[in-house]
Amino acid sequence: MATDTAIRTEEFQVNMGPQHPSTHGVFRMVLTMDGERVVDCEPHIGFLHRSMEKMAENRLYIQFLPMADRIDYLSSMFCAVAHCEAVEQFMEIEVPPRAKYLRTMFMELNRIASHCIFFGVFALDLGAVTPFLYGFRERELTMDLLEMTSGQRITFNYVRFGGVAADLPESFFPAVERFIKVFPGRVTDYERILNENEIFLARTKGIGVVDAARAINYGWSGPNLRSSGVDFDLRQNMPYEAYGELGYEPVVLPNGDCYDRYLARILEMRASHALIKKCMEGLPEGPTQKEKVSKFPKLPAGEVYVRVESPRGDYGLYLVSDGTDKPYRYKLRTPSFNNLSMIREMLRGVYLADIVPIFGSLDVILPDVDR
Amino acid sequence: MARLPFDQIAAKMKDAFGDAVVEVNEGNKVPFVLVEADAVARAAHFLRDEPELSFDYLMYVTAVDLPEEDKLTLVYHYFSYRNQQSLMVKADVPRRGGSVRSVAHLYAAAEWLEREVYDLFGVTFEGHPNLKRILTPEGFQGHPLLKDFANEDYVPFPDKMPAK
Repeated sequence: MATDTAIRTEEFQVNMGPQHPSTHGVFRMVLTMDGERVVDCEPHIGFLHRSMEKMAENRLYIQFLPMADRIDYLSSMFCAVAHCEAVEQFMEIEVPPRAKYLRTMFMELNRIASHCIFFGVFALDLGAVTPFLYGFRERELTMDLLEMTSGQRITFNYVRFGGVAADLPESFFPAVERFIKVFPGRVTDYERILNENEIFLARTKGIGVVDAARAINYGWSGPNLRSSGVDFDLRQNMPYEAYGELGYEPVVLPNGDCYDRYLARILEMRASHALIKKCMEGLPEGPTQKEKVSKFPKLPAGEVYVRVESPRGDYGLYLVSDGTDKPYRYKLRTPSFNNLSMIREMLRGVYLADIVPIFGSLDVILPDVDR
Repeated sequence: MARLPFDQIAAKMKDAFGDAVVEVNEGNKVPFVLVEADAVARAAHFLRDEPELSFDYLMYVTAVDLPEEDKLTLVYHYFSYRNQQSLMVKADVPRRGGSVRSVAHLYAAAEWLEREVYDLFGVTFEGHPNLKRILTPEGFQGHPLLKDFANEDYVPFPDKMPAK
């Protein structure tokens, strides 16, 4: 409102990123500011573009398998499962039940690891250091379990066409038992340290509110979408692997602000923990790898679309085959790309200090955006 | 929740667009409807606003390069949260200089998705608010996901490289 006493201000531009501690990778925003207010934001992505899709077209299906882990390094199990599921749909093979359970369990462990990082880094962005150490402590527990079985801590290369690479080692059982026992208490620690922290609440409650219609229009998915009140989770609505037998109740929250997006992930950690417990209880006996599945498959011509609920949302793979042993087109529908695309609209009109919580609460991973 | 089977959706689209629906393919693992390139945006509008369909979510937009047939196939994959079903719509455009109407005014998600297709395949989207390259660096030449793309001459940031 212009009055006689209003001070005339001049707009100026600020570069945030590409190298900025809160951008979780390499992401640049050119902010047009009016004092403390953001007038406009021009996002620049692509700094981590590795042309994954083009590389996939030039490789055998098995050669791309370890690379699929690197699309989103915090949830590599999901990328690998999507790759294998797509190939299996072409080959029309059914994975043995034990392998399905193992895939499901390791996906959930991976989800916990990813959400632990979110918890730690989100709090760190807002100035709290302790949660960062807490988050990495529990992530280490899941990493240990994954390392025992797959031999790797981050890029597991564990899933195979028609099964998984290895059965559980002896040492896994006591370790997972310990994990199942201690983890809920650790999540309680998380909740105690942040859920009612006044500074945390002041910086996240009512900040960056997105309603369901807008979230859907921008192609949001995963915890971001569910914290805007949309009751949709692929694990419940379109179950794959062992989710159909295990059953899953999605975490849905009504407010759509930064706080709900944070809380959704904390509650999902508990839900994942319950799934891991169910997996261990109901783990069927039997082989972990279907026999006589070609390692160098030649897939029939055609196309499939596979959807997996990754920690960041609806991870999709559109695979076109022309009948050879290499993909003809390998389109990755990565959730972070769509989740990030609203950033410009979300940042218009907010304070400079709210940029970090808004961006952090989306939990995007830049390699997943840029591919 | 009234979920229409694919053949009824295809029939509805045929009623609405007549000859602009070129092909209805049910045999594919992902059934799809092929429409004329100039009907892409109209079809999107129809699919979103028709109450029985309400495809309110655009999962992705991409293209498949088919040099032997000298065409690019654009792929739009929609999803309906209300009915929990998906629908794939395809459209053929020429390999060079292909152009369709943008759907960014209907689906905000399309703004970045169409930029990506423009960047990687060179298809232009008319009426797009901000059609620029998105993944490749500034000053990049060519469209990398075309099958005949060759990047041997490409030098990233030539003005910042030491002279040979």
